[in-house]
This record gives sequence, C-alpha cells and structure tokens, in this order.
Amino acid sequence: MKKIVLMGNPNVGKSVVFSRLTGANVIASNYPGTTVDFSKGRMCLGKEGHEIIDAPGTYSLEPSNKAEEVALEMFGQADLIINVADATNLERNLYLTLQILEQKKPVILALNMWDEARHTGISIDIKKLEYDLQIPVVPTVALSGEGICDLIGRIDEARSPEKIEPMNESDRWIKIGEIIRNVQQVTHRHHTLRDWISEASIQPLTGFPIALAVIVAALWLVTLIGETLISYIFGPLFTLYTPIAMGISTWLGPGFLQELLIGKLIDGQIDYIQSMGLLTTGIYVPFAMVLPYIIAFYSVLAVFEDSGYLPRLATLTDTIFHRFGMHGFGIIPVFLGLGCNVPGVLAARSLETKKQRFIAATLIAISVPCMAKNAMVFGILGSYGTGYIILVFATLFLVFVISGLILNRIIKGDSPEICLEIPPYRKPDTLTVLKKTWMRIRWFLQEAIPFLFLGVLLINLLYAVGFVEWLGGIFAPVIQGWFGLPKEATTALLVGFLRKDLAVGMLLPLGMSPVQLVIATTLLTIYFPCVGTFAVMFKELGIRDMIKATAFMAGTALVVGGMMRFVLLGI
Amino acid sequence: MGIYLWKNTRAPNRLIYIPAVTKLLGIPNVNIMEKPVTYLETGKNAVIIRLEGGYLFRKKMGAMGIREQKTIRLVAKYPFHGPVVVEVDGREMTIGRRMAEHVIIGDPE
Repeated sequence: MKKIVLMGNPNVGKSVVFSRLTGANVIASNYPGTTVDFSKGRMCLGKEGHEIIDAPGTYSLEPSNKAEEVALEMFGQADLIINVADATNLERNLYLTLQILEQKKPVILALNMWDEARHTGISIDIKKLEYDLQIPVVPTVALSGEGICDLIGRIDEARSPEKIEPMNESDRWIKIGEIIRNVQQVTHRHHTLRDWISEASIQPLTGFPIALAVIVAALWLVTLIGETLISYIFGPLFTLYTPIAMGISTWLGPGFLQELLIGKLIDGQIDYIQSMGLLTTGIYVPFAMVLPYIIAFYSVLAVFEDSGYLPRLATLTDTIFHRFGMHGFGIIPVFLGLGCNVPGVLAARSLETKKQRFIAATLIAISVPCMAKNAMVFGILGSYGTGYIILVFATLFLVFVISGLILNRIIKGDSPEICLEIPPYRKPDTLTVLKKTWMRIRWFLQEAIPFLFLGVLLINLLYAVGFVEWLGGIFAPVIQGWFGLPKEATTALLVGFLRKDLAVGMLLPLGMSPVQLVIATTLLTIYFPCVGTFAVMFKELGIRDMIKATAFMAGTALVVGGMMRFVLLGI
Repeated sequence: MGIYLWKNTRAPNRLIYIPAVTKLLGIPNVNIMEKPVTYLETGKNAVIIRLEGGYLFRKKMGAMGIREQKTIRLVAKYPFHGPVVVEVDGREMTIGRRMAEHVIIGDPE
C-alpha cells in the first residue's frame, strides 16, 4: 500500500481534493490555515488500495509554525506526492513544487482553481509545463470535481525528474521565472464588483464599520435561526413527546429507574430542564436547547469561512491583538472557539510561536464560551431579560481583554508580526456550506450525547451517595462566602467539567436570583475548560504550560467572581 | 543611488532621505530614491529593489511572492503602527509594519 500525500501552499484547496479523492469529508474553507492536522483516507487504484493523507498547507519545506511541521512530517512518510497548486498564482506555488521535486519523490501536479484562473485572464500551457517540470500536470476544479478523474487516472505516471538537482533559493526563483515566461500568459482584466467589495472591506476607514455591521448581522442571524428552530421545530417535537415520557414515568412507577430515566417530577409534571432524567433532561438539553443554536452558528460560520472574510477580519484586528501577545490571525481560533473550544485551541497551531499559541489557547479556554453553553445561557437567562445576557458577555469580553493584556506581559517569548495571505472573495457554495454544517452537527451529536448522559448519570449517582452534600460543604467558603452563590452550585461547577450546557441547566433548580445566575454562568466559563478542551490543551501545550494555564484560570475565576459579587450583589 | 541625511531609528541600518532638505541644499536628482514600501501612497505601485533583512526574512517574503523586481501595490496602511496590506502578482497579503519597513522600493509609478 502506497502512502500518497497531498502537499501545497495554504488555501489552494488540498482538503477539497482530498474529499474528492477519498469520499471522506474534511473541513475545507477559504482561508489559509484551515487544516492544521493531517487526515487519512483510502482510495482504490485498480486493485491496489492507497492511503491518502491531507497535510496542512506550507509555503516551503522549512516549517515556520506547528501546522507546517505536521506537513513536513507527512512529506517525510510519503511514497508519492500530489502537489496541489493554485493556478491563479502559479509562480509562487512553483517554489514548493521545485523544493518537492529536489527531494526525489514521485510527484504529480494538480493545477487547482483552473476555472478561476481562466476568469481572471490567466492561461497556462499545460503541455509546456509538463515538459519543463517533467511530471504530469492536471488542471482541476476540485470544488466541482472537474479534472479529478483525470488526476486519479494519471497518478501512476507520477515521477521524479532526473534533471532537477537541489539548488539554492535564488536559483530556484530564476528557474521559476524561466518556466513562467514559457508557460503563462496573463491578460488584463477589468475591475469588478468583487474587487470593489474587497477594497472597501480592507481599508481601515471603511473596513471597521463594515466589520461591525457584519458581526452584528451574524449574531442577529444566529439568534434568529436558533430561536426559529426552537419555536417551530424542536419545541413542538417535545410537546408531542411529553405524553410518551409521562406514560413511561407512570409505567415505571416510583423507584430508582424512574429517578434515573425520568428524574424528579415537579408539581407532578416533567420539567425538561430540572428533572435530570436520562430521557427528559438528558435529551431535551442537547436537542431542544443546544442543537438549534449549533445548527445556526455553524451554518453562519460556514458562510463566513467560505467567503474569505476571516483573513480580512484578522487584518483589521491585528493592531489590537498585538496588545494581547498575538497577531491578527488570533481572531480565527477565537471565532472557531465560539462554536466549540476544541477546534479553537487546535486552530492556534497556525500561530508561529509558543507564546502566541499559549495565549490563544488560554484566552479561548478562559473567556470564549462555546455555543452549547451560550445556547443554555440564552435559554435560561433570556427569560429574565436581555440585559442579563449582555452582562455575562460583557464580563467575559472584559476578562478576555484584561487577561490578554496581562498574559502578554507575563509570558516570555516572541510575538512575531502577521504575515497572512488574503484570498479573493468567493461565493459560498450552498451544498458545501450545508455539508460542512452537517459534519459539525454530527460531530457535536457524537461528542455531546455520550457526555451529557454521563453527566446526568453522574449527577444522579453523586446525589444518591451524598457526595454533593459533602463537596458542597468543602467548597462552601469559596462558593458561598466569596462568590455569594448557594453551596449546591458546586455540583454544577463539577458537572461543568463534563458538559457546560448541562451545568448551566443545573443552576436553575437552586432558586438563585438573576444576578446570581449571571455570576454563576460567567464563572462556569472562566474557572475551567470542559474535559475535551482540557485534553486538547494538554496535547497542544504540554503538561507544564497546561498547569500554568489552569492556575491562571483558577486565579482569574477567584478574582472575577469576587469582583462580580462585590459589584453586582453588594457585600 | 541616493543621498541619505537622516538616521532611521526603526531600522538603524537604513537611512532616510528627505527630498525637501536636499532641494534646499541644492542637491540634484531628487527622484532617484530608495524608501520602504510604507512610504508609498495608498493605491500606488512601485518596484521592489531590495529586501533588507536576514535569510529567513527574505525567504519568508519570497515564499509569499514579495521579491526583488516585483511590482508591489500598497493597498492599505493601518494606523497606530498597524499592519500594511500589499498586493503582488494580483494577490493581497497583510504583513506587519516592521516587515514592510524592510521592503525597499524604487520610484513610485
């Protein structure tokens, strides 16, 4: 079995080619640095099975960040390379191509985005390019699948040319210059509406108001979609489900099983948030409260990602993010973290230094609430008034800014400047957006449901053995004395380690005032990440930095919780 | 070649040339000038004549398409010493201000 690795510059469409070749779905977007880890898939060629690996994008074979290190590692293992290049930007892409060819591995070149090259007035003579490089060259449009069959058919022809010897950098550019003069012709094109939008959104004067409008519109759209799904689809479904659940409850009769499956009945009725049964709260929280917002958030995010707006946003926020010890690219992990902290922390790989990655990961874990938790905050605090929701997010925003400023001071290391390619705007394809949203929803369901069940089970068990009372007693000085919350809130903080959404739900039966709820939900974000985020932070940062980050979180939780109590509740 | 009259504190190895002063001193040939791309007016083009910096910096810029003899356009410049957006070969990219100050251009077109 051969190992075939997809290599290429960032944002040329390697992940789309990978999806086309293997049928496996991976997240692809329109910004450099979408793929930070490798994905493996299989493809059959004749009778032989091959392993296909999608590697992160890299400009050269000398890595400058963690994602590029992964790419280089994959390159080392490869038996055959499919070099994916951007046809609209051949000259620059050929640098990596030459470097790969110098390494004497069999290579086939896919000239992706062939349609876009044609539209922008670039014509490339494939035959001449094949002759110059002495490897097969296939024009492709991975998004529509054009040329992929041809690519598969010619993989066997991949080879490593004899005449290309290792050379130094300037010789490489000279050679590329010769090739480009020989094969490429560019005709001038007129300015289009797209150029105009691109220009307006990158100029500081117009860019900032546009960014503000875009973000407000996106938030509005997420809540609109979320609330619509809840009131017209998921809510009514559970109204239909209630008689069934009540039937099961009566059939089971009082006892342990009823406790576990249905939970406590409140005034003889099921309360989906407070009952804490596997068949009530255990399915209501993920499906009726969280899932609608997950669908809403990820469909809007997919449009954002595919349009190419994120790198522009990164440019606009660069100056501010430098104050936090990162550069503008840091906004991308933060954005992804708003959906789920795990991909957010992973996306920090595209940052160049350890300091930047540490700050990005810590700030996400400490102050970026994930959509599952947000949905619960909307659901629970929403009934008391929008003001309380704003209070939670305003506090978290302040925590983000202040922690960023502090971390930038105390963490040693460099924070290099931004160096980010701005892709052209592209119209997001409906099918691709839906597919991507569906992948992430499926991922949420696979991850969330088991942990939610585990959480509900744990709550029931802990109550049964009296652990809750005991733990509440131990943490009472902090929770009650310092944060001004009922001591039962300790359990919610414990469950928050498994699922933050469930933990927010657990705060409801404690009979807290709205302001106490604000304090508790804010602390639920700050004090500690959930187990998934914790695991990925451990993997990305290593044990020592993880301990540092955790200590910082605990400290911040103590300070912020105390201050909120002081300001919001009085003493 | 140019006549340098001013030491630039941000990039000590490069000297800045002030046309007004040279004119006053009666030094001719004001338009033969080297200056960093950040001096370009927004929207204007110029040819890159030199990248000032070490091997790694030149390589990093080269890989993004910013190389000698290339025409570069200054798309946008952010206030408060913020980043600079440039365009080379029809591709826009954002680079930090300090990096941009090491990309030396010839006469604006």
